[in-house]
Amino acid sequence: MKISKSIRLHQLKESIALFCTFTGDTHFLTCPYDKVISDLNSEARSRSELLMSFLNNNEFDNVDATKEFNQFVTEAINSGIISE
Amino acid sequence: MLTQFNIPIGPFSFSINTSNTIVKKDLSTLYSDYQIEQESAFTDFSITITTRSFLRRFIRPQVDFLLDEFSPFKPLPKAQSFAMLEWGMNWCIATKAHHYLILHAGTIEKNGHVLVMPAEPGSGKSTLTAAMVYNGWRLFSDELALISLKDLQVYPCTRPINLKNNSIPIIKGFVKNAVFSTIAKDTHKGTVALLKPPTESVKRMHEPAPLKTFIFPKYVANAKAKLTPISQTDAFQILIDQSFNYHILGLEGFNALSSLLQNKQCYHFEYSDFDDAQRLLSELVN
Repeated sequence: MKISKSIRLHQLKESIALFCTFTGDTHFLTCPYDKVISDLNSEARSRSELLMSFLNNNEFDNVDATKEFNQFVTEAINSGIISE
Repeated sequence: MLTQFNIPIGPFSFSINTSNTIVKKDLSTLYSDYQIEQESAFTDFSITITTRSFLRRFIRPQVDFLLDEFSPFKPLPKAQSFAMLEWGMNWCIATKAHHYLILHAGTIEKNGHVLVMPAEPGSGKSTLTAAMVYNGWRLFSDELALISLKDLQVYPCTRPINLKNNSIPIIKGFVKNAVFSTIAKDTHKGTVALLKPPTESVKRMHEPAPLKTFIFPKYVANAKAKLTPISQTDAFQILIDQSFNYHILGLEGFNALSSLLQNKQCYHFEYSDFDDAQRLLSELVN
């Protein structure tokens, strides 16, 4: 998985701002999802690598965290932020 | 008789043609500190305030605003002529000057630092701007913050300050010898009058300055002046909402706002007393 080519990022103090040059939409991602995007921005990762990093960085119950992660990735793919 | 006023306003040059007596009188009064010329080599916006319908010159008189030959608005009652001109001038800048990121904001400067104060209509932005610029601050604009996409400096667009309803007597009481335009009643914004900008601000209207920070002001009756820090994320979202052309600029707008917010602490600002507000805002730029 990787950040889509049409996405530009800017790190704010408490979040990441994302701009899609294709749609013109601006998104803001706060903790813990900003870390997922930061990780992907530095290099392409597999879904399982990303999930592992997500679980290690959060203190949620693993089952809930996995569910939240999958939901986030699905929405990010649908919004064109992440591509597989 | 048709009269032409060529007025340089900050980075723009306006040509205003009119035979309307209200507009001529208010232009002569409120723009008396500007270098008005009879002829101009170059004009950005050529505006005409006229009455196109012959009948409407006599029966319930109305006026039209024309940019070149184009009439973007419905005619308004003649008593609102000057307010219509000023609103139309705002429209010209907000819809055409896309080499700037344009925010709906009061903009003031002191000690070389600019405070941009975006806010919803009715939050007291123009009233606060008027009080500050007659109390030691330089007027950039009460309505449009122009941020250059080239150097991210804020550029003045120094023009009369648009005051509404209760703000008019409040500023009349606060600013000694305040000069106002003809008062327009029953406009879609209520009663409207324009306040002449300070002479010193007009003299320096070609001097841009760097942004210090964003302040989101709100008048709250009897409140002590208070600055409350807000997150960059919240500030970014408000700035998008209060921008006239973020959606047009696309990536350029995103990059500009991102860079402007870099290392900036932004604030909500509540105030009721102008002296109190002045003291607190001055602390930000001292």
